Formats: sequence, C-alpha cells, structure tokens
Amino acid sequence: MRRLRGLLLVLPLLAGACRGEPTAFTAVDRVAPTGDSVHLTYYLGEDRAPAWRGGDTLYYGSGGYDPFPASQGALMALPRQGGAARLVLPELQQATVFLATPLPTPSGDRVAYVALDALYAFSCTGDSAINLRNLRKVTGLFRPPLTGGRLSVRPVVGASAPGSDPRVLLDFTSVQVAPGLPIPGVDPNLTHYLIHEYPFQLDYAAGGALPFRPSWSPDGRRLAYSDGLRAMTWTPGDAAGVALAGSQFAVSAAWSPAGDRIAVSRAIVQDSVTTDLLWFKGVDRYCVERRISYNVTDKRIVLLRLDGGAALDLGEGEEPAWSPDGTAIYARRASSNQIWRIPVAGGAATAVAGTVAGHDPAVSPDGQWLAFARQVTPSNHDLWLVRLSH
Amino acid sequence: MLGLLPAAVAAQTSGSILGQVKSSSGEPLHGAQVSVVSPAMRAVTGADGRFVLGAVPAGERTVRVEMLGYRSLTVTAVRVSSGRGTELRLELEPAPVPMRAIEVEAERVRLIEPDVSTTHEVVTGRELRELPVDRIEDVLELATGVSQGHFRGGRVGQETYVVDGLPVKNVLEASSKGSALEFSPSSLDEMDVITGGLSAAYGSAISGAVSYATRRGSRESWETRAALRGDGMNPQGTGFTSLSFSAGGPLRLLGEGTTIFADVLAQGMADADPHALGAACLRPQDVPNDLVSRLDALRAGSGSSLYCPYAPSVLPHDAGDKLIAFVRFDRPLGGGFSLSASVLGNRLQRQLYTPELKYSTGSQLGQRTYGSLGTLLLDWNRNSGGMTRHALARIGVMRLDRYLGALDGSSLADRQTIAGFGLTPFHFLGEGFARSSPEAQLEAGTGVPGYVTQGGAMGSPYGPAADGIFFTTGTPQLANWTRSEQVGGDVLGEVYTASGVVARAGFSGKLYRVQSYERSLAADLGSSFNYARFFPVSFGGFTEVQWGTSDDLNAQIGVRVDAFRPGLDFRFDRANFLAPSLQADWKMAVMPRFGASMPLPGSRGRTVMRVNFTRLAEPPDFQYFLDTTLGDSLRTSIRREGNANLSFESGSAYEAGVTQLLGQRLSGAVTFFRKNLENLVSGDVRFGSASDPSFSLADYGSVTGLELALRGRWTDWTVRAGYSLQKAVGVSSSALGDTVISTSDSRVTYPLAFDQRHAIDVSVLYGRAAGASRRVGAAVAATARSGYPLDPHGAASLVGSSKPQYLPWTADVTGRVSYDLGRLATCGGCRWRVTVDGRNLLGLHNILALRRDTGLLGPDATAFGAVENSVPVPAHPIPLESPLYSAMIDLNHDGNITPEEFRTARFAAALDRFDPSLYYGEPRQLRAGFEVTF
Repeated sequence: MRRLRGLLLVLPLLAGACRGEPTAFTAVDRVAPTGDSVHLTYYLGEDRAPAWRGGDTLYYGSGGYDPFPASQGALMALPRQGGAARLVLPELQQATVFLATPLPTPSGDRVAYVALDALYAFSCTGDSAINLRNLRKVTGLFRPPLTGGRLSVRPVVGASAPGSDPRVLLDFTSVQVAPGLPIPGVDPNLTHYLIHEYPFQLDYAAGGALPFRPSWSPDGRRLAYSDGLRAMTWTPGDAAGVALAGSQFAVSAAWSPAGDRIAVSRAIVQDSVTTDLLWFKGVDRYCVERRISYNVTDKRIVLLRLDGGAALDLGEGEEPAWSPDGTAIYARRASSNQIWRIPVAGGAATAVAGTVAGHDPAVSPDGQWLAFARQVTPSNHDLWLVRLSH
Repeated sequence: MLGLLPAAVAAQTSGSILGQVKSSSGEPLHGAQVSVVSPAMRAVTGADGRFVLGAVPAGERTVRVEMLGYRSLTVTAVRVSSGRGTELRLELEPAPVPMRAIEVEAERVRLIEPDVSTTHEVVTGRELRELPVDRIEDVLELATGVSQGHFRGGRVGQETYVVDGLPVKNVLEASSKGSALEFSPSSLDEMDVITGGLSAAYGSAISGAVSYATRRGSRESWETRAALRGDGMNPQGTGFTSLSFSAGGPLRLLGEGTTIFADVLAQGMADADPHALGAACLRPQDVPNDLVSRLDALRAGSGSSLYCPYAPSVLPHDAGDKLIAFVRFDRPLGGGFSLSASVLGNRLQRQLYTPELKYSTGSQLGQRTYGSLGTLLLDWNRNSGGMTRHALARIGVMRLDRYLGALDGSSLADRQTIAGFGLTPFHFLGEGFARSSPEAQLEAGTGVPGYVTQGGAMGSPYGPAADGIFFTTGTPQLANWTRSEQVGGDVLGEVYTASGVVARAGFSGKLYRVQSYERSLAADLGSSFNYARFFPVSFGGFTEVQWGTSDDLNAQIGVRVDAFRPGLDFRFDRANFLAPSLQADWKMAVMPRFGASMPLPGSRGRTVMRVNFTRLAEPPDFQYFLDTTLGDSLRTSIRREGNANLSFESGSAYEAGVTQLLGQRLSGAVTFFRKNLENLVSGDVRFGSASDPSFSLADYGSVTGLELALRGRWTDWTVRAGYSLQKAVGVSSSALGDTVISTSDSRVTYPLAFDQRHAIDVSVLYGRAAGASRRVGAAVAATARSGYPLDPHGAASLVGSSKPQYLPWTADVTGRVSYDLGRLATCGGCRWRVTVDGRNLLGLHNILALRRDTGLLGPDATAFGAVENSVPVPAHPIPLESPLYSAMIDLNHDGNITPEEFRTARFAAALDRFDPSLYYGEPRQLRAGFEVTF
C-alpha cells in the first residue's frame, strides 16, 4: 500500500513537469483589417468598380500584379474581411485583354463583365495644328481613347469556351476617316478625320470603365448597361440591347432592387462645338481633322422608368448605386469630391462620412457597408469599406 | 585486516573473487568458507588458505568469510568487474565464543591495477545513475581516449558492444548509426570501456569495446525506484522530460534465489538531439567578409525584424521520444546450474530537421528505430579443489529495424503525447508500400503513396522570397528502411585457480538476415530503388590463458579466429551484365593477442608497468556490401557501388603504460599507443566522375597517441581526469589505384576524418554520488576537445588559406546536485530525493560543424547569391491583396512590398536558408527532478 502511495505521488510530479510542446511556426502574411473604415487594397494602379457577391466577397477591376499575369485590366475577387485576392474567370485573364467592371448575378453563378478594345492609334498626329476657324495654333487636344468593347456574361465555374459566351457589342465609333468632309480651304487629298469627343470618353480617360458598368435585374435575367451614349437593357443571348428612352449620354446604369427603374448618371451637355484642325509635320500639311466636342456642364442622377414613365432627376451625382431596400441612391458628387446618400422619395441628401475622394459606390446586400474606390493619385484608386450609419 | 587487489584479465560480464584467508597471526586458514551473498556462491579455502570464486556477476558484491573459532568477516561493496579477478586478502580474528561479524567496506575506486594490462575505464551502476547524463553514450565520453564516439581516433563503429558477454554490434551500419541498442543508465550494474589491449574474447572490433553488465534483482528484498526529470519549468528548456522506473527483487514462488529486475525509461524531447541547440542564425562572424556588411546592414536597418525572426522553440522539427524497457530473470537450477533470461526493447523516434521544409510542419522527415534483444543463458559453476570450473551456453536473438521517411503529418498532429512522449509510434507515409515486395513495387510503377513532389511558395515568414527556398508543399523524398536480424549462440568454458591462473576458450556462431531498402526520389513515378536481402554468416573462436598475481608478473596470451561470409552474390565487372556472378568467399582473420603487467621492482607496488599487443580485425559494415545513394548528395544522385567481396578491416595495436601511485589518494597513468590500420573501407566519393565509385579497402593509416589519466579518491570525493593527444593519419598513393585523393605517384599523408588531436575529460563525484553516506550528492562531468579536420583530403590545399584546418575546440560542463529528503510523512516507506541538473553550465557556444568550402558556418557569396537570386525581384510593388504579400517584409507597413523591400527580405530568407541549425552545441539550461525509492 505504501508503494502505491509513492507511485501516486510520482504521477502529479510528472504532470507538473509536463510542458506544452511548442506549436509550429505560423507566418503572418497579412493582418486582418478592423474598424468602421477599412482599407482593402493597396495596388498602386487602379482598383475600380467594386461589386458585392453575397455579403462576403467583393469583385472588382484592377491591373495585373504578381503573381497574376500583367494586364491593363483584370477581374479580381477579394474577401470582404480582407486577405488575398484571386482572379475571377482566370481563364480569360491575359496580358492583352482589358477586362473591367465584373458583376456577379444575385445568385453568384454568373459574372457580367466588360472587355474593352485596344486604344485608338491616331495616325493624324503631326507636330502642330491650326484651328482653321480662327487660324490659331491649338495645343493640348483630347484624344478619345476607346475604340469599342463588349459586354459578356460567363458562368463562374464549368464555363464553355470563352468565345461562346453571350455578348453584346459596345459600339461607340468616336473616330472615323471621312474623305468627304466638306472642310473649306483644305487640300481634298489630305486624309480627313471626324472625331467625336463624347462625354463617356472623357469619363473613361479620367476614371476608367465605370461608364459601362452593367447591372443585373433583380431576377438575374437581364442586364442594364450603357454603351457610353445611352442606357440599354439586354437579355443575354440576344443579339443587341434595347435603348431606354431619354437616356442620351447616360452611363453607369444601376437596376433598382424593385426592378422597375434604372438609375443612370446622365451628362448634361451644351450644344456641340465643331472645330476643324489642320495638322502639320514640319512645314508640310499632314492631315485634317473635324472635331465635335460636347461640353459637359453637369452630371445628374436620373431614374429611368422601364415602363416608359417619367424620369426622375435626383440632382447632382454620378456613378449611382442603389441601397438594397431601394430607398436611396449612393452616388459621387464631384462638387464635394465625396459620396452622398440621396433619398429616392425626396429629402435632403447627406454626405457619407469617410468617403472623401470616393468613387464607384456599392452597398453590401445587408446595407451595412459601402464599398468604394478612393482616389489616391490621378492614376491610383484603392478599395475601401465604410460602415453605413442610418 | 583487508587487502583488495585485482587479478587477471578476461572479457566477460562476470569476474572472479580470489585471494587468501589468514589468521591475525599470519597463518593460512584451511577450510574457511568464503561466500558471495547474492547470487549465492561459495568456496572453501585450501591448505594454503587460498580460494577462488569464479564467474561472479559484475557489480558490487558482499563477501562473507566464516570459520569456526574465528570472528566472521563481512566485506561490503566488493567491486567485481567484468572479466577481471578481484583479489581479497582477508584476516580473521580468533573468537572463542560467537561474536557479531565484523563489517568492513572495500575500496570503491581502484587507483592502481598492477594486474591489468589493458586500458579501460569502469563506470559502476551507481555512477551511471548519479552522473548528469541523458544517455549511456554520454558516459563513454568520460573515458580517456573516447571522444565523440571515436575510440582512440578510430572511426565510429570500429568498437564493439557486449551485453552480459553477448556481442550486440550493429553489423549493418555501425559506422553511420552507432550501436543502435540503448540501455537505460539505471538498468546497468557496470559499464566497462576498453580502449586498448582487447582480450581474445572480443571480436569485431578494431578500436575498443564497451561491455555492459545488466542489473539483476536482489535476492533479499524488493527495491523499487522511480525518477522524474524535466526542464518544463525552465523557459529556456528544450522540452526534455524523463521518467524512469525500475524494480527488482526475489520471486520466491518460483524457487529460492529466483530474481527478476525490470526497468523502463521514457523520455520525451522537443529537441531529440541533446547535443544540438536547434535552429540558430548566422551571425556576421559566420559569413565571409563580402557578406558581413550586408548582414550588419540587415541587423541594424529597417529590415532588422527579418533577421532571425523565429525562436528555436517554435520550430519543433526535432522532437521525438524514446522508450527503453528491460527485464532480466535469474533462477538457480541446482547442481551449480543457473538460468538467466533477459529481454531488451528500444523504440527511438524523432523528427528530423529539414531546412527546406522548416516552415511546413506537416511534411517532416522522421526516423524510427526499433531494437530488441533476447538472451537465454545456461550457466554452470563449480567450486572445488581450490578452483572454479565455469561453463556457459547462450543463445541470443537480436533485431534492429530502422525506418527513415516522410512522416504522416495528420497522424503526427493527432498523436497524443504527455510531456513530449507518445505511446503510439510514428506513422510514415507509404511505409506499407515501401516494405512490400520489390516485385510488387516495380509492377505498381508508382511513387511511394503519400509522397508529393516539393513545391509551393508561401508559408514562411518571408512570404514571396520563400519561393524556391523553403518548400511549403510536398514531402521529404527519402524512404529508407533497414532491418538486420541475427540469431547466435556461443559456448564458453573456463577454469579459475586460486593461484590466479585462468584458462578459457569459447566458440560462437551467428546467422544473419539483412534487408536494406533505399529510395531517394520517392514521389517520382516508378523511381528506382535499391533493395537487398542477404544472409551473412559469422563464426568466431578464441582461447587464452592468464596467470599471475598482484605481486608478480601478470600476463595473458591468446588467439582469436574470426570468419564471415557476406552471403551476397557480386559481379566483378559491374559494367558487364554478362560477367559471372559469384558468391563471395569466406573471409578469415587470425588475431594473436598478448598483454603483460607487473609492479616495477623496488617500487613497493607503487609503480606498475604494462604492455600489450593485439592484432585486430572486424568485418566491414554490411551496408558497404550494397549499392547506396549518398544521403548528402541526393540532388546529384551520386551512388556508390557495393562490394560484397570486402574482407576484414584490420589493424595492429600496441601500447605501453606506467601507472604511479601519488600518495594515498591519487594515481597517475601515462600510456603511449600506436595503431596501424589496414584495409579500411574507403569513404571517398568521386564527385563529378563519370563512373560511380565503389566501396573498397583502399585506405590505410595509423593512430599514434599519448594518454594521461588521473584518479583520486577521498572520503567524500572521487575524481577522474584524462587527457589524450592523438594523431590519426591516412596514407594514399596512386600505387594502390586510389585516384581519388591524388593522381600522381607520390604518397600523400592526410589527417583521417576521425582525427581528434586533443581531448580532455573530467568527472568529479561528491558525497552520495561518490558512494559516501551523505544526504548531499554532486557530480560534474566536463569534456573539452579540439576539432576534427575540416577538410581532410583537401588539407594540402589549405596551406596559405584563411580557412581553418580544424574545427574549433568544443567544451561542455554538466552537473547534478541532489539532496536526500529522507522519509516524508506522505509515504512512510519511501525515500525522496531532489535533483537539479545543469546542462552546459558555462553556456559555451560550441560549433560542431563548418562548411568545408568557406571554413565558416555560412556559404561564400557565390553560393549564397545562387540561392538568393533564384527568386527574381518583381518589377513592381506587391500589394497587400496579392497572394504573395507578407506583412513581415512590408517593412514600412504601407501595404506594398517594394522591390527594395523584397530584395531585403530575399537576403534575409537566404540567410535563413543557410541557417547553421544543429551545428551548435546544447544550450545552457537547468532541469529539476525527483527520485523516490521504496
């Protein structure tokens, strides 16, 4: 018995000497962000057009960076809690393809996105130009960057060959070779160009592909989008979209949660101005260009009714996004360089705290968070989240 | 009243007690009964008063002398050493009426041994339990002439191990894996380390022998001991926990005199290599000059957080555990016969540190070794006519099974452990497949199941820089196993006379079954592997005669004959598959051995001289018969061709020594020795050669040495100290066809890889540890050694080089203090003792290895750059949301890793990749423990 007692004494000693074995080393790759204002991405290029997939993932457009293929535009997904990004539809991502504005369906099974075509390669660029209408030298000309694009829809998984995806063209011919242009006093043998300085081209040059951002109908069967010149609806599989009445120069379409309206950002322009330019190379005449400019005086949020009813102007704003309950529009106001909440039923708009320099708002399905792209430099936008207080 | 002197030399785990009994007036007493208490043995003195008790088990024995009309005498703590005689000169006082016996204690430490011609060190069971050692091998280091497993400059494995007289050498891979079988220090009664003058009883050894005598249970009462030690309370500890339990006593139900002893040792270790510090970091002094400034800049600059960012304790890649169990059973059978049986089981397992997978804890290399030994001994002993006749027959069965491969990470994670010790064995990926028949594996044409090719990019603290430096997916690529089984028997007959003559002869034979499997690219489909199964056979026989007493010339002369057959076919011309396949012949070695010792005339026994000559031979490790992929060159896939026709490695050794008694408490010994080594298995590899090198017996060389030994004894102190100076050189010339080292005709002399020039060892025992009756005990063990040759075969090219020719000195001091608490109220029958161990008390930063190319711990700038530049620096910053992002290398925490930050991290990662882990010695730490006996 005494021996047994001795053994019983040893056992606690053994337990006392037991020490927790070391746990394996775990590298901390990144610290999960916390707080009511979250800096999600740090890419030194453009992170734009966030869109929610459910409440826990954000899709967005970005440039390519390691370890992804270098690309002017790539489709990305990022956990709402922060972390490592991944490519959406990686089979499409190539260095030569410019993809933008990914938008998942409400069920998350498909993604609509825009593929933009190559930039214009202007051949009518000499050493100097003269405005033929006042014979003054002209400098600092804006050149429309985009030649065209496509809006496509593709399943997230199990997709077929990319070429078979439903698509609709974004046909916005901004530059034409026009030999028959009647420009007086110019050698008709010179090449003549006709250039439209559409507002969306200016928007794209300043802020990327958001003018073309699509928006799913609540049932996920149709898309609202803009080809830059007007707002459209499109049923994937159809050959072309259907233009909405009263949507000239409307961009950044956003389908309302109730499905009856589409919010757009419409540019208010003055009458167009035509300018004829004669380009020289050295002392030799080189080419002729007729330029039609549209001076934008305002950008307003307009709610277009799908039944053809009267549109509702909600005042200054662009890049609209619906609140999930359909009672408010979140939109950027350039005058204050901030995102505002604009009640649809009327009432005072309020600036959303923490959104200075914000663009591209997108409200989470639960209405708690606002994702947006904050401009850091003219060519650098990062994604942020702010908690919405109602 | 009492004189105690040793006598003749033999080589068993039993010794003899002999001597003479006289009356106090000096008359020899005829008919006195001399007996050993446990185990019971008895002899009666002859007409000249002389007696002999042969085949007494080694250990401390109690001897009782009785004769009618005289007062009985009991001598305790009589030291009986394996293979040696202990001479007692006893005087009895007349006692007309019965009186209580006189009790005296024998001297525990022998300062001078006039009758021993060998060089040896005996460590008693008590000392083994008191010394601050984790494992038995550490005690070897305290024997003069033994350093880091090398006996007198010999290669590791050139020594043999004997357990209770039974050789248990690891015949397959002793030179790379050592003795394989391990005993708990508390399971031994004695350990005898012989470094020179091996008797004819020892075969299969060139450099020395270690003889273990296991403990047996007491005949009188049960003794039980439990001990616990650990460093769990020490933040700097390495996770060491040791639980030891032993019990022994009579089993009277099975007959009077029947005893049993059992011992279990369980150890859990976060760092299973007690000599290694674990993961360490390169310091400026560890790298070439052209990297120093960069390393300094890293440590001082904004990237300082990247320098050595982990603590060794969070890299548990060297954890493991050890389980050793031993049981011994003894029973007298009557008529002088007795039966002994013992079983030893080992399970040693550990994770192995794999630098490229250091941050992938689920993919580690591991090794598990099972060792088992069973013996059955029938012993016959008769004392009559002033002599002892002794004979024994013994059989032994031994198996060693070692598996080296990728650990099953999931089973490792689920494994339940207590203090680092787990009851369940390690599981390896695809072990069943690797152990299946070679034909089935070839037919399957797959890699070893579970193995994955290495790759990945993330998981290290360096994130992107880890790509290609640290693998975060995949597994180690080795899958190796070996199994050697042997069954052997031996018979021995010997005769002891009271005049000190011993004659003995023995014969032994062994049958082996050896299997070896080696696959170095185990994840690859159908990757080739080496597999062999063969059946060697060996026989040995010896005879020797010893004579002499402590006052006179002592001599032993013997001869040993060993023979073996590899049991493998081999092909003379490996390039020609049509060449005939031949069975390797029997190899035989004849080894005469001679030794003599005597007191120097006129020295009154205070000066003793000894000389010996031995011819030595051992079969080469059986692993050399086989093709092998070099473990350290997997990337180059260099293989060595086995040579089944290898013969004995052999040598001759002679030594001469003088031992001088210095006062009454101290003795000093000087020994000079020389060994000529022949037919050594070549260890050279022709890197870059078009043809694979073959194992051969091309090396030869010599070891010359001088040893100084001091032994002291005081009432409460025992001191041992030794110094050895050795020079081990090899010789090569193209005349032998060895073009590895030199292509010229000139002879080249170079230091052998195991050359160890200086070694110092000291052990000090105090109080209880020294056997004194004190409550306090203390033991200190210290060693210091000069380093190995850094680049033996390139030594000539080192002339004028800044690289050192030898590794730095290493030193280690460990200590233990204990205090006997006596009996505590909680357990009246128990005695408690507390112990505190100090490991590496001086905190020395020992460097155990250096790179041969730089002479430093770190690589040169070129090699470093190759690793560093293997990861391209990205042209653009890496944002936080990139999968390649790592917060650790975003030095300014701006959410982007700039190319410059990446470059800094890449440098730090390369430093980490070249970490000198396991190159440093044990850390300084304390362990606490308790011991209870009841």
